[in-house]
Amino acid sequence: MVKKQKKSVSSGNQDQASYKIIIIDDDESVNRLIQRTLDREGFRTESARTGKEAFSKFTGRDDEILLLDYQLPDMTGKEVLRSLSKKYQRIHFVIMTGHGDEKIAVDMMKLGARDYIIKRPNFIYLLTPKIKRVCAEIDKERHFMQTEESLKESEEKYKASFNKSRDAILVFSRERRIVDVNQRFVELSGCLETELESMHLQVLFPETADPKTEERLRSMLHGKEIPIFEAKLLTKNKMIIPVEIGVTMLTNCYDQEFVFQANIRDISRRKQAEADKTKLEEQLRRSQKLETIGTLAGGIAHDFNNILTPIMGYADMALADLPSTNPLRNDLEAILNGAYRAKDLVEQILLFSRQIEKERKPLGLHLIVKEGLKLIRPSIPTTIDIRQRIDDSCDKIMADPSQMHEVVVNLCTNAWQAMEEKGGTLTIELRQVEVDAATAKSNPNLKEGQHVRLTVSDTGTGMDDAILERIFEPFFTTKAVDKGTGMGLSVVHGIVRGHHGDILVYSEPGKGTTFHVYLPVTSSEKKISKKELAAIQGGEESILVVDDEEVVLNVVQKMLKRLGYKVDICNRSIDALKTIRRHPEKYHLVISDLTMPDMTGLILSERLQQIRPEFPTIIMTGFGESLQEDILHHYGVHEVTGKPIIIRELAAVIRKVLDT
Amino acid sequence: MHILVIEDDAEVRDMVCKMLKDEEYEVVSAINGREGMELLRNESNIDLVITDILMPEKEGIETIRELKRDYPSIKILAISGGSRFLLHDFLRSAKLLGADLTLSKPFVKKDLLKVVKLLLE
Repeated sequence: MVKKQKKSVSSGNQDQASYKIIIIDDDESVNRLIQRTLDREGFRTESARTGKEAFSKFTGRDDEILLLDYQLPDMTGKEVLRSLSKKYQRIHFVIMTGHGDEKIAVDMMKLGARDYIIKRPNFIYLLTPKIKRVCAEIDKERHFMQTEESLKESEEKYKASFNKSRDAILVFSRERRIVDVNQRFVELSGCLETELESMHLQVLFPETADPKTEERLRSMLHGKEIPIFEAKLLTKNKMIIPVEIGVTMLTNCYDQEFVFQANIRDISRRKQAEADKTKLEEQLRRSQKLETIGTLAGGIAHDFNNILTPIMGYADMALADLPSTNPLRNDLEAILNGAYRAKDLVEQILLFSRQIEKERKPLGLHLIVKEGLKLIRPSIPTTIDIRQRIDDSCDKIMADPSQMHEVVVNLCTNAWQAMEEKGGTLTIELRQVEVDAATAKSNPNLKEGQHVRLTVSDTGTGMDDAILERIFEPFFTTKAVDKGTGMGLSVVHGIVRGHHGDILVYSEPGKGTTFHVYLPVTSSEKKISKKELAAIQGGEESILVVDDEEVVLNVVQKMLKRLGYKVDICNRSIDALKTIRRHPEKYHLVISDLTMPDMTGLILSERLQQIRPEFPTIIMTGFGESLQEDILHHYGVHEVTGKPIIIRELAAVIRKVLDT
Repeated sequence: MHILVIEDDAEVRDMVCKMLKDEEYEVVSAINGREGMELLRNESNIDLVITDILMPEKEGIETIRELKRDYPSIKILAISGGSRFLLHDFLRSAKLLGADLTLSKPFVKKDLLKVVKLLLE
């Protein structure tokens, strides 16, 4: 349904209704005539006969207009106004006088009358237009005042937001001089407000000397918007703060045709977070790259050994068949030498790719470091000063001694070779450090906890970022062709990562290089608090522990007893088998070492399955991942736990086996 | 003395056979574990099996396991180019897989003969 819209009868009506006309005239007939006329036109009206009555009707509102006859019984119009103006500031009034009193009308106009009406015959026809005009005039004034008011209000609001803004705000002129700043900018710049006055932008933003800035401002003058950009703010204390700037142009402010307002946001935190993230990603990428190269190299090494086998084998046999005078012997010997060199190289690749897992044992790294230093010392030129700071009290690490030796010798050799020409200082430091959560977070290869840190520093040639990026890659070398294979650092990297550690490097061209090697300390020696122990789930079952090493047996026995188990130990696998044969139901679980002289843990497990199918067995091994799932399954092994034995892990594995 | 050589790489296989034949050993060869086991069923006089471990593939390990189970008296020499891990502690690690001895590639004749002699004595 379409609603018929009501058409307003007169667009003026509404305006008139908003004014109240107070008619003050003692002439009853005139008063009534005026009132009727104005009522008809839509005005609100009231009437008064005397000045005194007028006072009671007038409330001082801005929408009231006095239509005032000059001659009243109790006072003149002038007196009425005088007493009202004591109370009210703005009084709208129109004066009415008799014929011949024009002079009075003029006087009253001077006092602020909006208009005057001479009460001639038929004056009533002039009345309405006059009142309407007065209303329109007041309307206009009121509108103007309102605008002025809201302008003032918005200016105050602007000032408040300007000063309280979390962004620093800077207003500058076309000449790039500061016109105004807010409190935040004063804080950010570290300058006093007075110092900032008229300061050239270039002082705070040295980059703006760039012609680009001028170009930007000019394009803004042509009405173009420029996108938010990043810049650097130079503070009074010569600190550089990365900021984000959005510039807008303001017209007709600060008594200038154009000014520019720059909203400046401190983004140093964001920048830092971004930089951290990039660094982390970079590290991850680099470490993944090395893993990939390692896998690839390891795979190639396997095939390469197959290829080398006939080369070496046949050259050797041919050599054996030739009489010692045959000139071909030299050629064959050269082939054989080449093959041996290739063999060594493949071994190094395997070391890098961590395919060589040797048995590890608790090791005091300080002994290896000292021994390694003793070995290479004679080859180090006397122009190099050697400083050692080795803490003998560091905890032990689980490591292969020969591989650790290789790490020490490799790092030290690289270090002194970097100082060979000019001499310098080689510093070797060993100490125990705690890797905290933050460090672990920023170095994905490091786990939280106690580590032994080997630091090897030189004051030699140093490296730039492009070289640093690649130093752990196999075959990457900056040395002369005959000085090295480029495998040294990649082998070090492979060994350190294979020991669950990490190697970090810092270097600056011309200043030197520092390598930090972090290796986790062995946790078997770590004391576990009672509270921690309480959180570890134990049990009451009977367990037989088998290991040929008494030390391990004792440690494991102690751990299991603390967990509440009944424990028997046995240092020969054959004896363990005999015990179980005699009492097949006595033990709920057998925990056995993997490698033992007369029978391995695997065979023991297999035999146990024959006595009692599904006999729960756990194998302890230092080889870790080198035992394959299918082998374990074949021998009936339930679980594997790595050496060194950690009580928390052992407890969990036992429950896993016994509870399923 | 009779020796069975199981090796998938033809050049390595031929070379190992030649090295052994030169020393008057009776040699038969197979290109994988399955073929090797078949040969064994027909030739009961084998004293030693030389087999590639083929790490990390299942086949080599399975062959060794089957050999140990079905022919406990036959000696086993495992050869591998994959990893020196096996070389580390000769006897212990070899026993772990059921092989009597292991030899890592590449090797020359005298290396091979040394371990073969050790096993056949």
